[in-house]
This record gives sequence, C-alpha cells and structure tokens, in this order.
Amino acid sequence: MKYLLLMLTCILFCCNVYAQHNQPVVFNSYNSIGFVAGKSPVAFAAQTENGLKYSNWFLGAGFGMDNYFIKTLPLYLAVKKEFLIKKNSLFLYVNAGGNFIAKDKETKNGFTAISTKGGFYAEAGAGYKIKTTNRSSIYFSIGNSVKQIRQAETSLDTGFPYTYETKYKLSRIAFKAGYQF
Amino acid sequence: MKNYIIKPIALFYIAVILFSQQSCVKDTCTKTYTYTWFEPLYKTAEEVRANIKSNAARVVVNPGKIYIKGSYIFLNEVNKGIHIIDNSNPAVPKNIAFIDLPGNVDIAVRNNMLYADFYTDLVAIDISAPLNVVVKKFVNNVFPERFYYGFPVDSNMIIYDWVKKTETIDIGCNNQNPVNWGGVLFNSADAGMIKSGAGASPVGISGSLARFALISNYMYTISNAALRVIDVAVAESPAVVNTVNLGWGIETIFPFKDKLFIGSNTGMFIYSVQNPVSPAMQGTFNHVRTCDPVIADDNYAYVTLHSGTRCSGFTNQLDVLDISNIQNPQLIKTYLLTNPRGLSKDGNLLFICDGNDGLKVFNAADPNSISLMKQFAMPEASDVIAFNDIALVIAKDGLYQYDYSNPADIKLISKIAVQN
Repeated sequence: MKYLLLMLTCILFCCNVYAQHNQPVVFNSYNSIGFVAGKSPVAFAAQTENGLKYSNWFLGAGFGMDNYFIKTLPLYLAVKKEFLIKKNSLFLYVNAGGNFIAKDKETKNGFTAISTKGGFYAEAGAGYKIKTTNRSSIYFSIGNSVKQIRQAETSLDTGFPYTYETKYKLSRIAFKAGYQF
Repeated sequence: MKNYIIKPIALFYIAVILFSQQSCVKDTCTKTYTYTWFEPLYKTAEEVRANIKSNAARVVVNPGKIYIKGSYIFLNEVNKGIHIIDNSNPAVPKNIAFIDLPGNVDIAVRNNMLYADFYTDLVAIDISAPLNVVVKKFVNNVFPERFYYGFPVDSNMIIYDWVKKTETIDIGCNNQNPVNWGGVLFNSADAGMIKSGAGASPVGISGSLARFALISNYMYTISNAALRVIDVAVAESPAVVNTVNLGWGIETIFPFKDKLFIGSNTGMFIYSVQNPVSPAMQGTFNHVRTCDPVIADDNYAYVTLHSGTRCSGFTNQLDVLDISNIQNPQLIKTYLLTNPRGLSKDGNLLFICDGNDGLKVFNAADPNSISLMKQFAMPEASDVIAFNDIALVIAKDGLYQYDYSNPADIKLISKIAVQN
C-alpha cells in the first residue's frame, strides 16, 4: 500500500508540474514480455507500466509477473529518460518497489509452518525504442533486475520455539521486448 | 536506416557485457536461526525445600497436568509448582494457594497425600489442610531421566526457575539446521490427566496424559522407557520397589481396575497388576508412530493418535479397540479427528480435546457408531477429566468447567483464565 501511495504522490506531483509550466503531458503505456536470466533457471517475465510523459521523462506505476525462482508480482514506480536519436530514442530506466508472492499461503507439515514473503524489487537498464507510428513504438531493453524473497520456517511446538529465516537476493539480467503507445 | 539498426545492436552488446558482470548476475542467500532457550536460576536445596508449602495463590501461566481430589483441583504449573483450587462450587472455583515445587510436571493424590516429582526426586506432601500443606518425605533419584545434563553438578543447588532467552545466529544456507544444546528447552505442552475410579476412591482422578497412576497401595510412574512401582502403603514414606523396562517412547499411563494401559508412540501396552509389585504385560496393540493417550473401560479402549510437534507422523484419529480379550486387543473402528489429545469418558459420553477444534463431546453408547453431539471452541485444548457431571478442560487460555448433567444441554459454568 505504501508503494501505491508513493506512486500516486509522484503522479500528482507531475500533474502539478505540468499545470505550472503548461507543457504537454501525455499518457504512455509500456507493455513488455521477456525473460530474466541469472544463476537459477531462466524464467518468463511480463510487465505493464502506465503513467505520464512530460518532456523526455516518463513516470508511471508498473505491475508485472516474474517467474524467476518463485513466481512473484512486482509492483513498482517506473521512471524513464529518453534521448532522441532522430525519430527513435535511447532510454534509460529505473524501477523500484516491492514484489509480492503470487500465492502467499502458509503451509504446515505438522511440525513447522512455512511462509514465503516477497521483499524489495528494483531494476535499472537501458533500451531502444523504434517508432512505428506517431503515437506508438516497439522497444527492446536490457537491465539488471533484483528481487528479494524471504522464507520463514517456524516451529509449531510451543515448547521448542524456533524460526529459520532465509533471505534470497536474486540478481538477474532482464531482457524485454515491448510495445509502447 | 542502417544507423537505426546498428546503434541499438551496439547498445545491446554493451549492455549485455555490463550486466553480465558477476555482481549483476548472482543469487545470494542468507539464513538465520532464531531460537528460544531457557537458562536456569539456582537456589540452595535448603531454600527450595523450605519453600515447598502453601504459599499465596498465583495466577495460572503455563498449566500442565490436573488432578481432582475431593472438592479440590490440583493444577500443575509446568516446572514451577502446583496450584490448589477450591472447587467446592464449580461455578466459582477459587485459586487458594500455590505450592512452590520446581521441576514438577506430574502429580497424584491418595487419601491426603500428594505425590509429585521434584526434578529427579519424588516428594510426598500431606494435603490434609490445603492451606497448610506439609512435606513428609523426599525420595531421591526416583526419576533419573529428569536430570538436566550440561549444568554444573552441585548437589546443593537446585534449579528454581528459568530465564527465557532468545538468540539469532547466522547460519549458511548450505548448512544443516543446527540443534540447540546451549540450555534446556522444556516442554510446556504436556498437560495431562487420567481417570482412575469412582468418587469414593481414596485416590484422585487424573487426566489421560498423566504419567503417574495409583492403584490400591501402589503408585506406578512411567518415564520414556520404564515403569516404576512405588509402594505407598505407608503414605508418608513412599519407596520404589521395582522398575520394569518398557522400551522407548512411553508417554501416558491409565489405571483401570487391575490393569495399566500404557500409551507409547508406537502402540498401547496392557499390563496386569494382579501382582502389584511386578506388573506383567498381557496385551499390545501397535499403531503408526505418533502420540497416543489412552483410556479404557471394561470392554473398550479409546486411543487418540495425534501428529505434530514432538509427535511423529501425520495421523489424527480416535481408535476404538475391543479389549474383551485382553491378550489380543482388536481395532473395531477408527474416527478421523483434527489433532486429538487428552480424552475422558463418563457413561456414554466421550470427551475429546481436539487441539484447536476445542472440546468435542461424543455419544459413545455404540463404539461402532460414535457420533459428535457438541463442540466447544477453545484454543489448543489438551486434556479433560469428566467426573460427577463436571468436565474439566485444560486449554491454552485456561481451565474450563462444563456441566454435563444434562447431556443435551452441556453448559460452561466457569473458567480460570491463563495469564498471557
């Protein structure tokens, strides 16, 4: 919830900037599929980012699916900066937020309860956007994506209380191809 | 046009080289182990023994086994002592005194003598005047398995309390889960009871998880592997007269007439005490490895099997056994339950503590067709004594009393809350 509030605040801030400078702000949507590769098996990933573009800056909220290691759902703030190269553009991007377990269900095996939770999610990289029409483009990007997962195994025996907590920090390369309008 | 293609390809290669660096592609893992343990606090033996008396009543914090004798309830506070509760009016039980008895988990009462474990020792306490109980005798080393290894050996020092400590350590993700040997992890879950006879009996009534049982002039106690016979004919001077090896995994003992029904984590053993000094095994019934309190009547034994915690397996059920042929108990029916613990039977009513499902009351008139009559919600119900139309139930949050004089309208009449 705090990530959503942060995103809303940023979007409202952008609207305010636009109102003050009276420059064109347009809605942009970035939708991509791709894969993430690291030490664990390569996995499918998909994202949608929707927000406002002002000058060469884009600020939006992103949501996705990331099957690497364990399926998680990233929810994040997305920032992009474009550098025009004739009618196409190079862009740098940064995403930051949290990732949530798709099925955050505690399992009990009679002796212990095992719960899995998400953690932070961040990604930074660069991409190239090729204009297809006046209002749309296709793009490719590559970046370094990091997500955190926490797993806790807690004893159900009140006379023998213990917890094993394992934190995974998964750093991968994210390859994406997408369509922007 | 050529530039539009070459530039992104160059960009792509540069990015791949950059992001492929070791620091960018790495799965790291950190693992911590947080455990709670208990560090002993010591007093001299003289100090501890001098304090085994009727002290001011205390709130119930960690209730263990329970025992009824006359109009009094003796409720074990695990490893701390015994609450004395005046239950002459079950609707308004009064917590009147507390006997400080470190290391106590089991109790039994015969006539006016209370027998209790005191770590490795057995103590006989005269409870004729509950507000002024008097220690009559200590019998040393009756329960050698209660010795806590790893602590300074000083026969003049006794552990009187434990300090809870929590520690978190980093362990590698590839390491085996460690085992804590740095203190004593005592178990608080073994609340227990037995039912041993009619109201006129000189002995009290305990729950189905009890490890002490009284028949006539003898008290039988179980450890993990042994059955001890203690002569209590001279009430204030108990004496161990025999020890019978039973094999590992012994958990509960239930006396019925001249039989002892012993629950182990692999089965139920029936011992005859026709020769009270030398119990002789008469029959066995094997089951999957799990915890299993047992009670019995003339023709049937009722065994609850539950999984979880220290109990192995995944079985949660009630087994009803035909014991009309004591040498060859036969399973007649199994009823699936959630996480059954202690149980008690009075007439046709069978009471089962079913873990977090609470107390379940069954009509057991026909063992082949036991049916649920009523269920009372409570957290972690562990044991029950049903006697004289009152069912005493131990749960995580307190000691409940239900009036079942009208089985169609079983009512909660009182509760002594546990302090969290």
